[in-house]
Amino acid sequence: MRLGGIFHAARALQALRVPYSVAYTGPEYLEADIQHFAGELGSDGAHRVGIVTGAPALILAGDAREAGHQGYDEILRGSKKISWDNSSLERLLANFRPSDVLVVPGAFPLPEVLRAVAASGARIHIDIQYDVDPSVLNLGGVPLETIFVSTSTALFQTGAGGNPEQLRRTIGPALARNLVLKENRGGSRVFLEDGRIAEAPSFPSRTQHSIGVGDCFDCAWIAMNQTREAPSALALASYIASLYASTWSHEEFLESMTALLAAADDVTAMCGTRIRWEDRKAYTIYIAAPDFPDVDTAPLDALAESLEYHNFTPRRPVKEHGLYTTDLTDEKAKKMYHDDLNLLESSNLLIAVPLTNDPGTFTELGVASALGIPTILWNPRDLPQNLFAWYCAGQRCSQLHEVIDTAFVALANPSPAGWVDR
Amino acid sequence: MGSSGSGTLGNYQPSGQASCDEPITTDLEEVAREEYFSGRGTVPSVGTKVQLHQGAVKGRLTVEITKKPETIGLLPTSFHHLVLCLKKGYSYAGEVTASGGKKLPVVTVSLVAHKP
Repeated sequence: MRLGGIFHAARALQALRVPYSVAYTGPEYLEADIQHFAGELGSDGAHRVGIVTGAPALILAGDAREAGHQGYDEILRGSKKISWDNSSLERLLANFRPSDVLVVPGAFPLPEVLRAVAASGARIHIDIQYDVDPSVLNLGGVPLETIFVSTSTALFQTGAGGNPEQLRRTIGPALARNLVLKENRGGSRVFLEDGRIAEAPSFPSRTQHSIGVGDCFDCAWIAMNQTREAPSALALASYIASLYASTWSHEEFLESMTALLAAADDVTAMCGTRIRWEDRKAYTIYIAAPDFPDVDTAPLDALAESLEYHNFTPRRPVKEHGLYTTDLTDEKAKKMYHDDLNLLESSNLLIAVPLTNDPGTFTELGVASALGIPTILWNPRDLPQNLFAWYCAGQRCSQLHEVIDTAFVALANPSPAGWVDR
Repeated sequence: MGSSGSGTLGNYQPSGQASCDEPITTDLEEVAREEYFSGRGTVPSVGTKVQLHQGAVKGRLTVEITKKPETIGLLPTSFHHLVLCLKKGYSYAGEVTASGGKKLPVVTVSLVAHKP
């Protein structure tokens, strides 16, 4: 129901070979393009159910690869208005008669939409990534089929205190038969109506973007869950979302999907990256860097912020244990060294960020490497490579989003989709 | 005015997607635990011919010695797209391009694609 989300979903549904139709809200200036691209993407018509005025319906994405907060900014959102046409939606439902409806919330009257869809008898799936109040989803005794929630929402982080079980208590089977929790690069899980929980890893790819990947995931889950067991459906949804994130080209995505549909069972069994949201706090990540007052440490701040966004625990030894200076007593200096070393030895991952040619950073990298602790060398300032530092690092990255991708992989024990033992 | 881009709606280009034809150079994972090193206590020398096993084993793609299928290590999971390529009939072969280490054995391989 939201123009961007609609077209990501349309791309996914075309690739999944699922017959579908589109209801959308949008500004008039995009009307011709909407009709054109809906046709190109194989939609059975595109039906306008609301007109947006007062805003261009344009969103800026601060971080398209979601190393941290995506930083969405909707232009002129304060003056945006929608004239809603419920009868158009009702006509579409009566004529197309969908078995399932995916609702992507936007600035339109959600209760009216849900009532109209429920009256048609279609199963309702809704992604509440935009922080919809769950109380409006109560249709008076008829549960929705699926609610999708992302770990980045306030509903999960604040409303449920970052606790998936608490989220399921808030959104119980009476509200949604299936509750899917999307945990970004760490995988996903689904709480089923009968109390079982399935989980699936994410499948790391060279992330080109994370825009619309959630919409793609939703469509894939709905399609695959019709015929497959939950772990398999979730694994395929995750894999398809990964394919989607790995390319901007629709043609390449379609080609990959053709191969995937022929190899679905092989893909279901593949190992990927699974790190549950609530387990991530226990992962300590040592940031080895010249974290000094006279160095511009903006990349370290960004790295720590991104790791915290994904619920990991970054540690900055200089900030925690102090800065070594030559006027320190030997006793104090030794204590500082041992504090740093203890922290390093107990860390699950070391990320070395040589903002300058700092010998301490490279020494820490070497120590971690020799101890068998996974290491990543992030070289944001493109310093000349040091032979030993460069090659003893487990992974080497030049961009922050690569560091985040790599950190997930380095921390996870590769595993396939399956049922969760409770 | 400094405008850039095509100025119209359309598909984004170019893509950075990894295709089946792309050559692969990577360090292998789990070398210490796999057949070759655990059986011999050494890593294969540079130049040893290797291939990607046809199909995943326990959810992982494995690299083995060409002459006598003996697993050296696992491809990182980021190469999961190759499972689709293998299904399409592609195969991958090449050689060890770097190896070393006794406590922390490391093997780097380079593989090229063979179209079906």
